[in-house]
Amino acid sequence: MTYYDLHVHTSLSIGENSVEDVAQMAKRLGLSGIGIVRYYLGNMEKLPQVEGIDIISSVMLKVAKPDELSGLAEKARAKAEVLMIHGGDYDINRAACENPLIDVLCHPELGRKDSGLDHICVRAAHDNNVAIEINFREVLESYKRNRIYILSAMKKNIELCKKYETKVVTSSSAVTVWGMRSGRELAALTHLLGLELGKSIETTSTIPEQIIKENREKLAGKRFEGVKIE
Amino acid sequence: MAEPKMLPPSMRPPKRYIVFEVISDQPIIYGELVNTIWTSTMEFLGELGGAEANIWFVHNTYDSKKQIGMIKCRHDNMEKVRTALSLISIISETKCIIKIIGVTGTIKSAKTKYLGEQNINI
Repeated sequence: MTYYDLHVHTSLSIGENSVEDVAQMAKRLGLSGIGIVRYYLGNMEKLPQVEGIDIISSVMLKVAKPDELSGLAEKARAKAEVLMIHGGDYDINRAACENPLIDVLCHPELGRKDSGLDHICVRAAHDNNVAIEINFREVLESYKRNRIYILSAMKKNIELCKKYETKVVTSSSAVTVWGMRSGRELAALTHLLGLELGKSIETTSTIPEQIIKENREKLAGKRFEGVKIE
Repeated sequence: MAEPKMLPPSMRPPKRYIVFEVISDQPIIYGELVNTIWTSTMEFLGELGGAEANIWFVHNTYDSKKQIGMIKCRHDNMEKVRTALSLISIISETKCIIKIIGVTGTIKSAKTKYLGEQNINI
């Protein structure tokens, strides 16, 4: 089984460790690929490649207003293998779900006491092929009452995703190497939050793999809207 | 004092043995690891969840050099214990990751598969 973690921070964003250190730990944890997150700043350099592991370029968009999102997404799309949105605000969450250029909506419940998503957002996410992220770091770094709020918000999001068959992605969102976990352990959290075991394992294996494969084909000019060149 | 008789094998509750490895930059003391796992289980699963999971440490299998150990739990609570273990990030001020190497149904198969012991019967 090949496991992927699409959301890992390094010194290129808010993380502490270098890409090489993170890649070594990922190899030790049995991951096949890691998404190195960078915030979109216009020019994006190529990421260093490490032998034995797939280094994926994940681009995170952080917008203040929902109307800035679509313009920025069009610019960033050409440089990103995985395009992510920094969620948390309801309007931004909804705009991200309604935009087909976006791949993953990260932590929609960040800094909130509710789940940040409703049935309209999740239905739109299913129509536009946007995946909803389950963020492990939020659970790992919270305690007592806050952890309960976050877990119940995630549980509510998973219930909605199950109803509308929206894609779910589980990622560690680690800022140090000690925040990383193997794919099977990330999947175990998603399973406890209400997804069936088989589907929760898919959230760290086949679903990220499919997102990366499709986007790489699009970037190479082999796949267009509805057409694939063999 | 008289003790209850051991249940026949068909009536014993099904269990799983989780083989784990502690990844850390400094060596970990086993007693502190056990305390941290109990605390994490209590925090994440609560008293009732902990009782249902029926966690038991297989002390004599711990390898302090490789930092590999074994935990027994109920078979239907495996994912809960796996998550409780993954939510540990610090053991006595040392940052660490608990990585699960594998899960088996008997101690014998855990030893032969993951702890590098030779199976004499084969």
